[in-house]
Amino acid sequence: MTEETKYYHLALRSAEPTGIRRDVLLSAMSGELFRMAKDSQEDAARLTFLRRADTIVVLVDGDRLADTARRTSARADAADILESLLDADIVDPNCRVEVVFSKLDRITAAGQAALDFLGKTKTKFEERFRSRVPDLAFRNIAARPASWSERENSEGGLAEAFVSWTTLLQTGPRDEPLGAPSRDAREFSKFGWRHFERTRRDP
Amino acid sequence: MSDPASLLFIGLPGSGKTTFLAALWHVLADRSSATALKLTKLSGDRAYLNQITKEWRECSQVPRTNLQTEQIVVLHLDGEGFGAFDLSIPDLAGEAFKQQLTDRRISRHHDAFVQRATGVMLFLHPDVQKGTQLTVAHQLEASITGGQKREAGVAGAPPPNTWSPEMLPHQAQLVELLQFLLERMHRKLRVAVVVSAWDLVETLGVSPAAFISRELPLLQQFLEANDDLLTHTIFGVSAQGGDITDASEKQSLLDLDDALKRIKVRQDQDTGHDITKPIAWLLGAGS
Repeated sequence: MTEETKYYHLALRSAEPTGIRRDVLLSAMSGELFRMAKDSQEDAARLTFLRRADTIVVLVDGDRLADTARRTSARADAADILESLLDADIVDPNCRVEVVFSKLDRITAAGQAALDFLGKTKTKFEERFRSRVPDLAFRNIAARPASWSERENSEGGLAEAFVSWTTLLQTGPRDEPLGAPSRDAREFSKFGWRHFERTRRDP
Repeated sequence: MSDPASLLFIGLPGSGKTTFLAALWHVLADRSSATALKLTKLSGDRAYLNQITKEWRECSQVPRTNLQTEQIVVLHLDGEGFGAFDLSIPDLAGEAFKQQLTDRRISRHHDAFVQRATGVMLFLHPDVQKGTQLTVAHQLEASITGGQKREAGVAGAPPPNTWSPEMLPHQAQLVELLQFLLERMHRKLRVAVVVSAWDLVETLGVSPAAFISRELPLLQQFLEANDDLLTHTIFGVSAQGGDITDASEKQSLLDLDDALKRIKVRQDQDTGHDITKPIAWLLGAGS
């Protein structure tokens, strides 16, 4: 990947005493890479790290959705990025894809027409992607709402969204425990197996 | 998959070829409307399509293609009765067609597109080159009755302006472009005539065919008289949906809950939103 790509590793544990430990790898990269992926199959196929993602969050800028001149592009850009990634076959069938509409306060402030457009955008995503993305979800957020009412109308803030994204779903073969490696397996494989066995038993 | 079907969009500068392509890409990529043709998958390189379509989505003027920005667009399509197929559409500059008229030459590059084309979409803007339409000509004629007689009788009057190809009436230019094609193609040609910016003339209350017959009779007669060489039909297409240079009209278009509703396609008495219809016709639908 380019220098613009960074990964942040967070080791997290729930505040509850019996909370699950979770290692989370967040990718942070230039939006330019996704613009290129939107425009080109070849560039989409280069985002190979996405194959390992448990959750892909497609962020739709609420500010653009609230603007009649830019809202159709905002919707189309997000959909085209997702479709491009799916066509490039780098989205695991078990991966959760969450379409997150940001800045809900701006959308609400733009009036009922903007909220209707938001609703129709979700419908279009459903129709276009449900068959290819079984675990497709939507979320409205307002990370810095101007008023409390916006915070209440959004589906939780970033904290709730983050917890949801980092909660692994028990789906598909990726989550099934692996069998013990053979005696002559590479030491790295044995280490990996011991590590996953330990975290599975003692989360 | 077999060789891609190939269509040729021809027309003078500003006749609406690129705007049509932008609206077409929006409709195909959006996938939510009932259309004769559907996209099966995205094209490999979509930078150009996305660039022009962004302008269309924002009701902005879609940038005209010039000789340096010509592109070949490949669409992966499917349609009832067609099966899956690839469609190649070169987005050629209107200037290239203008040069054909003035220089009497066609580049090898363009000729190759002509040779491959399985159908031709001929674009004309109803408002392009004002003064070449018959209604305008008739008005002018009425306003200068007797003018020519007086001029002829004046001794030492300046000679009339020297003729140049730019002075060709619009319809004569279009007929000339079709004649170029017929000369280079050795098979029966399928031509969809598209009167673009149809919203500008739909208040006349006539069908696209009647509009051509009334305003561009030479073109209409050429199309009908050469039915042994070409099969044609005429569409009225409003790809933008209205006059985007008018601020209030532009805002009305942007306020529509779905940009798909901006598009109007009329053939005979039928009006709908399916912009793939002219392409489906070119590929053999309804024949």
